[in-house]
Amino acid sequence: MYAIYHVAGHVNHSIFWKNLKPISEGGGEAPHGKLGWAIDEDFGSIEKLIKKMNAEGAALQGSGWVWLALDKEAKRLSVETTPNQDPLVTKGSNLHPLLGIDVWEHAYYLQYKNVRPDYLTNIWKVVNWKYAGEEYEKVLA
Amino acid sequence: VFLFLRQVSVPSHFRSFYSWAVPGRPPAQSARSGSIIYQPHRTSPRHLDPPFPFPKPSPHTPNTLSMALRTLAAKKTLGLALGGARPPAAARGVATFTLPDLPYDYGALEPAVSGEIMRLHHQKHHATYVANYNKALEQLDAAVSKGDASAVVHLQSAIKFNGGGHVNHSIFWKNLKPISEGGGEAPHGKLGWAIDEDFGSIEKLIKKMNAEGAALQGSGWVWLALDKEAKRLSVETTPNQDPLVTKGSNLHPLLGIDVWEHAYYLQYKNVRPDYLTNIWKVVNWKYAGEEYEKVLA
Repeated sequence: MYAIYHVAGHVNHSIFWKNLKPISEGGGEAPHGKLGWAIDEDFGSIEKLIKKMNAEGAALQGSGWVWLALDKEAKRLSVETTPNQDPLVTKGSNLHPLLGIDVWEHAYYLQYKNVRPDYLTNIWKVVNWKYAGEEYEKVLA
Repeated sequence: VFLFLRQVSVPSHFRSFYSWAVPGRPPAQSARSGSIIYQPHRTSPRHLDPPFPFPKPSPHTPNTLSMALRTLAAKKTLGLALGGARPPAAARGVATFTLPDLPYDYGALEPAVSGEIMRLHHQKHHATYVANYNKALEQLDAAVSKGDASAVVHLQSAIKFNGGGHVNHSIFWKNLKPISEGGGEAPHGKLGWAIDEDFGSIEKLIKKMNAEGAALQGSGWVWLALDKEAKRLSVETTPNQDPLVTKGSNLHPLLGIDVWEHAYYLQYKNVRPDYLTNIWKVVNWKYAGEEYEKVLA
């Protein structure tokens, strides 16, 4: 069981690096197309989605991740959190991660100290919505 | 919930109104059948009641108490009339907790633990646990008085996390001591012998605690625990801010080491094992020894 923790950590971080992009390469640019419409439908607006993810990420007790999840079967988006290095699939076998934000203290402490909400506010400037949109269309194809 | 209520010093007016919630007050019993009777507190007709749920003194209440209750009733009415939603927590008998002072300067544990970490750890992390704990307890009080069982259950997570954070860190500050004041000096006396008996040597104990602390997944604590009943020492870990007692109701914490990343990251980065190796230089074994003898007295 101990080893699975490290495998899961590898899985989560492998997604995370793809979830981020330099601003000069499109990081932070809002999603277009099918994902953009789905966000408006399921959350009202992208601002409301971000507000929800930030609230859940800030409230997470201890270490973990906050996810924008796509339910492959229900064809619905949702916001989920997982503790420690638990992958999103532990919250539901039909859930596919579109975006994950690491809220372990190591992800922000050197820069933001204890102020996790500031980290969450700022990370959206470099979120790779293009990747999330491509995943969305790939899974629902 | 009831553990919390038991520990609070409950003023008499609060106790009589919330009699159903405070253990130790037996319900009335029918003299004829012996069955339990629920007795509401009204001793006067409804139209004479004050505009808020506050009990009227009974005919049996001594004069001074009834005067005090009337004064308090008047104050509460005034508070409500002025637009206050509920009297302040302290006036309602809800315990509020405060951030304890560190018994040493922030920089006094250097170089084992940096002053920057100690300051943030105390002024930001621990202070936030205290503030959120008090807030959750106030919300709990409101939910209990409304009889909102669902809200009471929902609040348990915030109480456990923030209350646990306050409990754990309050112990932690006492577990550390500057080297100039005895920090790091090996335990003597009864605790020293118990360590040798249960672990072989203090070196073996430290090695075990470091191994378990380093291996802890995510955030949590590693403890030197005393089982009050079995009169045995053990090493335990708890996740997040779970207090040691969640691992066993007989377990008393002698020493706790915080292995949340905020406890070491600014200084040791990801190398938790280095933090664990170094923190023993400032561990307050004297406190642990005193706790050991106090619990087993």
